[in-house]
Amino acid sequence: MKAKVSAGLGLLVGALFVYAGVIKAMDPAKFFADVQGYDLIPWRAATVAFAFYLPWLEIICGLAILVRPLRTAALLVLSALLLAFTAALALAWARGLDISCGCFGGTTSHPRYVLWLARDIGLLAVTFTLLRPRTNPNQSSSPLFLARPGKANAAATKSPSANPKPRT
Amino acid sequence: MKRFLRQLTILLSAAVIPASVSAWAYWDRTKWDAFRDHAVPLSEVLQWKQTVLWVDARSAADFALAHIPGALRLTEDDWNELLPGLLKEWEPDSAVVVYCSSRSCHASEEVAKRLREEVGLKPVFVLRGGWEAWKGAQ
Repeated sequence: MKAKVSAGLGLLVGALFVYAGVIKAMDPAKFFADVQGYDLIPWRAATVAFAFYLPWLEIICGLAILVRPLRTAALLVLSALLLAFTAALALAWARGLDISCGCFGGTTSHPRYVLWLARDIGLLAVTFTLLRPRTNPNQSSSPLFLARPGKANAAATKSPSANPKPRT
Repeated sequence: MKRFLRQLTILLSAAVIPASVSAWAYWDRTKWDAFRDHAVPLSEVLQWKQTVLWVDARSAADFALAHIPGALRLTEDDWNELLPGLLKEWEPDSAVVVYCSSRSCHASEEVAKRLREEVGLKPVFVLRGGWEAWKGAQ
């Protein structure tokens, strides 16, 4: 059950980041303007590079959550990103900036800091939960995270080489 | 630890490839200052001889608190409800100037862009510095 919830949450977070990345990657100029609004990166060239790089990092990490060998690293990168987003939003709020979040595209007539921060903190809680080491002995050894837990192990136990009989 | 660092490196560098392709593909098509091309300072607007139709892209609460005299509110959130009222007031020889609260906001740029591209109004400008610039000049 826990494995199913974990897989579901992983799929949800992954899909959310892929969606956010695609929206931004499709309109880098808009995302560039949103990043500029935060007034945190002093160099224009760095802001342009960031506007191109971040959406793809989100897409790749969102997909990598579903690939077992890359899952932990992907979750760590996404957690670090969420921490950075939360800090940037809190800073903009403290400075009284009227910004566009730049999170999922679109523009609002006024900043919705409480909503944006709550969403980021909620996602951060989910990524931290997913990062906790699992102690399930039936954990799948399949490279795909969504593979049914225990299936690969069951196949392995059926194989005589995997479960040799003790010699008498 | 080494394995983990290798995974991290794979992820961080994998994003560089599509990002570079995207930069190459978008470079010519993307006008990085497109949003700011139509930004005008208040001093310039005040010297115009043509009629100026002020468009306030801030929230209803901010608009109710204070706004530029004669300004009409139009935001992306309430686009369909507010646009007809604006079009009623718009005249072909008037210049539309959209403003939001400050330099960091982009609501005015988005509204101006939609007025130009979707509604076909011309000319549509964005007030540089927004409401803060207006307030500062009073």
